[in-house]
Amino acid sequence: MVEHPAETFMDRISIAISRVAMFLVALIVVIMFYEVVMRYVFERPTLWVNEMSLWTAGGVYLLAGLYVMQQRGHIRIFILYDMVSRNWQRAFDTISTVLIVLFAAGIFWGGFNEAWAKLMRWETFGTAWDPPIPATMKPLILVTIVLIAVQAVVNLIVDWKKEKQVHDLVEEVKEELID
Amino acid sequence: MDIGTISLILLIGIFVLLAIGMPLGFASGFLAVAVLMMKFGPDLLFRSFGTGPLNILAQRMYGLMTDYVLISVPLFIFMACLMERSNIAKAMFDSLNVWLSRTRGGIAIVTAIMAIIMAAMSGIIGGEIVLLGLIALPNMLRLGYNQNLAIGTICASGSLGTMIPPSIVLIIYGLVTETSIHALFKAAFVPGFILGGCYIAYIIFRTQMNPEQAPLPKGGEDVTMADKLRALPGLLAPLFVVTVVLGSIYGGFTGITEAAGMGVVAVLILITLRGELSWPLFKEALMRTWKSTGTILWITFGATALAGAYTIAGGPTYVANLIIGTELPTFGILLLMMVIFLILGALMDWVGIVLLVMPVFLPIILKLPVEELGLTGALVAAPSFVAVWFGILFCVNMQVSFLSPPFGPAAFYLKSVAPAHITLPDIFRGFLPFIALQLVVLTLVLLFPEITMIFRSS
Repeated sequence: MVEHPAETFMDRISIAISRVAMFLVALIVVIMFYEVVMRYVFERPTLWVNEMSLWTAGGVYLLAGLYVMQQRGHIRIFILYDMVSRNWQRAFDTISTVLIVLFAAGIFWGGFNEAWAKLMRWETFGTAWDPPIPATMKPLILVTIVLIAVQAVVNLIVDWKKEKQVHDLVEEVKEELID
Repeated sequence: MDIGTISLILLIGIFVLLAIGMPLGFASGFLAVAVLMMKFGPDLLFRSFGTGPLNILAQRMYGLMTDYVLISVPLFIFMACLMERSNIAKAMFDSLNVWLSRTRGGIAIVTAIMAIIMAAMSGIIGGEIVLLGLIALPNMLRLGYNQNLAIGTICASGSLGTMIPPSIVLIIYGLVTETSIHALFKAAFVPGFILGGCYIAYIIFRTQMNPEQAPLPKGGEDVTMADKLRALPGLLAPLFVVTVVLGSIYGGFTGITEAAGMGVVAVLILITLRGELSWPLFKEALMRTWKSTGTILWITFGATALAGAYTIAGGPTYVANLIIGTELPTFGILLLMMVIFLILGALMDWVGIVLLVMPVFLPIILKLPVEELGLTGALVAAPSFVAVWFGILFCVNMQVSFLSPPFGPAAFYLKSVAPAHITLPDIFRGFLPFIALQLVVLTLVLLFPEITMIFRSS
């Protein structure tokens, strides 16, 4: 897989988080397998696997988005974008980035009190094993969206001086294959 | 601001933001903020920091994150990524080929069968088309197969991954509409196989009518029964994975999420037995999984935030009244929706359609007189099944969207691995008869909901 290189400090943070967190997917597989074996072979189902998977997966969904932002990999349509001059592209990118920041600000503004309260209360999931999913995942949503917004701004600055590139969808898929 | 104006601005906003190349998920997310802003005004929205209507955004995201079934999405992606890195598919192609190489159109039939088997293993498209494009396309072109036939076969049957269970499209549909995914999977079986069967029947018919489009391999000894039996083990591996995934679900051993996990384990075991397991392969598969998960999930997050905001602004009711206000007959409304799906499907990603359109369309469908749905009124006996049936209709619609120009993703996946002289217009031309077949099946499911009800547990 061809990876967009780390060009800034923020890129390094995003990639570092991903390098560790991507193994969480494998971890989910391992604990699920353990649960199924325990349930059917030993007839001693666990209490914690379901909730642990849920907790882990939440982190996967959120943080993977940060990596994709650093990779400039979020799905977008390039038809008009590729036709216009580089200066227009800069204008488009600026609008996009400002709106991403506004989205992040919106989530943060509306969600802060609830997230903070749940973290302070160390609110748990209210189930048998009772992991602190609300206490950790609610704040993680806010942290991740802020990181994504920062990454978007960093991308805009870093890419500002770059030459125009045409996004051939085919070339992109091809790059994916050559490794 | 009234909801009619908000809806109009929203619609224009989506097109403008997509046109300037804003990432889809974040464009939806921003529009969610914009909808709340227009509905409640800045005073109410920003009166006190940390709370207010904007909290719906994080709440919707959190709601999605704590849905157990959603975990199956990264797991199915992981399974597909592992499979792509291994030679399991190549081995399956070789063994099927031994059986069918002396048949007219044999490789095309092999391709379709292989695609159906792979569709029963995983729930995504892309990887499957790339694999078939790498393995089957060179073989067909070398033998002198008609290029359009080869292309159409690979892409149409390769798209079945999201039609035949397990299917990510149905998983997300079930999540959004709170429909039983189990029921959706059962209902998708028959339409999925009809679709696959139509492709195979069409290949046989077309090559019998025009033998020059599918020349038989020249010379070579006859394939003996012993050869055929020797080739069987290549089929065992994929069937093992199918058994593990579907067997876990339908045997009642595990839910869909755990079945996906067991599927990953099964593929890992096979790769190990084949001696192909290595650290780079494993890590590479994980990286791809990570990237695809981030891409698909943030479109989902953005869309769920927008759907949440639009709902509290009263949008779905407004659009529903608008459609009902046209006073179209039941069948007219259904047809209108199918056309909207086909148009949207040609322009945007299926995840976006499920999250944005379903909360509006499904309630309308559920309000329609159930005896007027389908020709025979089969749904009268099971009104609760309407949501499942509509999900299958949507799923067939998305099959068409994968092939339809200008953005049909199947074409781009194939182009990336096809010889340079095959252009995108060539590829889309190859799709035409297969799109016609998909529309026939769509019509069948629309007129005869029974097709989806065969395995229904009463």
